[in-house]
Amino acid sequence: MPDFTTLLGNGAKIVIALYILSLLVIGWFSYRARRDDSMRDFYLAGGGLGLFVLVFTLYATQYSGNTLIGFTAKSYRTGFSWIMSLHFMTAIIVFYLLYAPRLYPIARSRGYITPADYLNDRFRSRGIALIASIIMILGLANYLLAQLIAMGHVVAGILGGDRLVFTIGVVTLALILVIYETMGGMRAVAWTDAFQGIVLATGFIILLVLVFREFGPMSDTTLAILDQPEIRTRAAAPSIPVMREWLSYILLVGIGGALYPQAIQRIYSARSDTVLRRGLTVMAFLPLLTTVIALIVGVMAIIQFPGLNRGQSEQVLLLVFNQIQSGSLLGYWLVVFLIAAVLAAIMSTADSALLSISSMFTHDIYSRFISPNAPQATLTRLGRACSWSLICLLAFTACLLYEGITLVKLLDRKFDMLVQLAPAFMIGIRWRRMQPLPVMLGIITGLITAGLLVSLGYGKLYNIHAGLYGLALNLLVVTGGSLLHTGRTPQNQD
Amino acid sequence: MQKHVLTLIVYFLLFGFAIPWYWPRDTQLILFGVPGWVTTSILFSVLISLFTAWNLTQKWTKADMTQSPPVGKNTKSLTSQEDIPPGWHDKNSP
Repeated sequence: MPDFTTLLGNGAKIVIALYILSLLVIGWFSYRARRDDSMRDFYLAGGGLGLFVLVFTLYATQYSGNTLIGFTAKSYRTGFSWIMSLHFMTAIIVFYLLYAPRLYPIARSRGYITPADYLNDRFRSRGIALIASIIMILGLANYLLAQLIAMGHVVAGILGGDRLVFTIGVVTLALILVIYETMGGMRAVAWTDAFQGIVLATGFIILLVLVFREFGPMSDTTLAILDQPEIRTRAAAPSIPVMREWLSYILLVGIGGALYPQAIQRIYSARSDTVLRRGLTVMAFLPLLTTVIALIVGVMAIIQFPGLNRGQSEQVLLLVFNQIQSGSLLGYWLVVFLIAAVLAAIMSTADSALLSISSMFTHDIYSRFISPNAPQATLTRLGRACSWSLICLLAFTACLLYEGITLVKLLDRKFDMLVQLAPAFMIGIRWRRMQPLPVMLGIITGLITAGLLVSLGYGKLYNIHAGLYGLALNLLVVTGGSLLHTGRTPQNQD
Repeated sequence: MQKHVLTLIVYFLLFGFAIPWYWPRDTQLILFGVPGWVTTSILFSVLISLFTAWNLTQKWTKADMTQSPPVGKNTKSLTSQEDIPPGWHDKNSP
């Protein structure tokens, strides 16, 4: 993780601290704006998100700290072929089209709160709803843990220090995050996301302007890469195996990203279908603003900072910041803004994941299986308690994983798991004959296949992700099983 | 149904051409400051975004939204098995 110590003076640190504290102020205003103690108001902001807030909350949720730091580093290592990130981020919006237009009106009329509500309602199967909730909770918990670790590293980078500063960073930011989240629920998360989304989008644009001013036109970089035989491959068109990987990423991230529970809940939260349509329309163009800029910065760094190894390349954004801020006072303060954007990206992703997990635990597990008659106000209180417990557990784990990041990487199979829910959402929303038992068996088959491949060391087999092999078998079981079932029961052939 | 198939075919083609399989590996052509295959890849991504925007604004029509009764104070949350509405497979369900 970048070390910003040498970049920042005390004034800059105070500005960043004020920025973080301003999130609490937004949280307080969102608490004052609450209408009642219902789960719908707490977890979906009463279904009243307008266009501006919806766009920026979707944006800030979808683009994490990894987009700025990780994608830049990846572009440095792989070169222009990381343009694949543009396609897989765009694919997420394309896959929304498969189910969001149908899901939205049903969710509004039936009062859905979590993604599992749809499954429970559609298939009348609490088993499917339960297994989907577990998949989503596990995937998101891992994602949230990764964001907490990233927060700690950024704070350690800003203040300078070792494990103690890292721990203080994790605990402090997790505390701020859970305070505003439990104050205002989705309203607080969406409003802070809107603020953070603006900071993030502005940060990307500033970064683009600054790198062109500092490093010159893109053509100079491209020519320089093509002139050097040892790095020429980073400008070469991708090989056949790499192109298979492109396709795999487009499908895996496109489908999995469209099934993020926190994103589905934002679909539920839109004020109207017009707002949702317009919001997704804007989102369809935002990958051009983010992933392409990360690619440009990473590729320019190939020439500006040659010879970095894998570990050093993770610091490439810092090197770019360092170069930019050394030139002028304006450059210095712009870098301060960019560092705030990095924090914004991480925190906005983390708060959405936390709220979503809390809603699924409270609504899908406690309310559905343990205490079905619990009043709404009790469930909302339980949701808040759940957020606090979860953040304590994960912050503690994050502190333990200071150096053991490999464990997170091992756990990072969320997309392999999430895509197994695709048939139920993307086909089941339109295909009436889809039956619950094949859906359940399909999900289990997909999970076992992906899990087996990963455990055997085939996270990617022939450059195709393990989750996609699981999804292929899953689809086979779901469609075959449903057709066989409807063949046996003619009354269902409507 | 035919419209949906046509939409899928268009997406298939657009994503197909966004992957630069038709460029020679050792090409040195530069377009707009980046390798030519990157330019075409970005171009097809822009087309995907435009086609998606068109789908969202023009094709996301009443046909998809006809099942949308107004949401009011009486909207119930599915907090228990008893609360589950009459069922997806009813006539009025999608």
